[in-house]
Amino acid sequence: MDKVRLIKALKRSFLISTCFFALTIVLIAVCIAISGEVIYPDMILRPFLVFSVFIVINTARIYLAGSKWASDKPYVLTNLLLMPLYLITAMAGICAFNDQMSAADLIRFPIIFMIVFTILQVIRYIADKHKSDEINDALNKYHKEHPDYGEEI
Amino acid sequence: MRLFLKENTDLKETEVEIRYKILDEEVESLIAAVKDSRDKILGYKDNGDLAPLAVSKILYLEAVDRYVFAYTASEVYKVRLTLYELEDELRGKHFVRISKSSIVNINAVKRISPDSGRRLRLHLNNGETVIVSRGYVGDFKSAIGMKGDA
Repeated sequence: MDKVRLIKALKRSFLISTCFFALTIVLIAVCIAISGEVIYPDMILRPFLVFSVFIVINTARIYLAGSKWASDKPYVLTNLLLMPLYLITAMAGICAFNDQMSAADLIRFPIIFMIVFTILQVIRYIADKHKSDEINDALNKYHKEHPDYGEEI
Repeated sequence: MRLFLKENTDLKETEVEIRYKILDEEVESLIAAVKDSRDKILGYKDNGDLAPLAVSKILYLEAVDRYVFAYTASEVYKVRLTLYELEDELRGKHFVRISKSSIVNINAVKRISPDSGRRLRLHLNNGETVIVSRGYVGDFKSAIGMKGDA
């Protein structure tokens, strides 16, 4: 295990998680202020638990996505392989803030998540690939115009 | 191959002209030697030995903690210049800043593929990959002659 890469992944994950955590707290506060519901101690604890899981999972995701193996593969493939980690995070968040989830919801939600996630990833990758193809063309043109050995007189 | 040397005190700097019939391996190595002698920065090997480093051989430069490292196809050198200083030094020599911590040699980029978060992944000649941060994609595109941002 690459210690330096792991620390970098942890730092990045912590930064991302902190932003999401702050946004979630603000959102919860606004919802509670509007609805006027009473806050129970365990409700305060839940975001901390969810984001602890989120930090760990996100660190693993960033670490794996930065591996030599993943760097040679299209990012869509890496993201689809890491989809279970995204799913766990999403499920942890939903379960933590929703006490009335039925067994059917627990089956339905992951299926919907996986379908939507896959479609969005593929669409986004195709769009990004189209853009990077244009950049590749520009790069080839640049290489022709600027040979490695310098200017020709 | 014939070698001509001509002294001209009127010249502002030394000029090298290579006349060739065919651009073959011999001529290319001659060009590389002339180019290498022109653009060099000082690098330090692992054991602390000083090594003049041909700019054209550098694939990319990366700042790690407080040090800057120059990566060639097979070796890594420590450079005692900041990334900002190197950015100035290498301006106009096919190098471009691709993130807060890296500068890449455009001539060392083999192909480009998309990366998540609107970043770009540069595949270098030696098989390594480096990432262009979202904020530097526009600079990279401008450097290779593309207009407009990503």
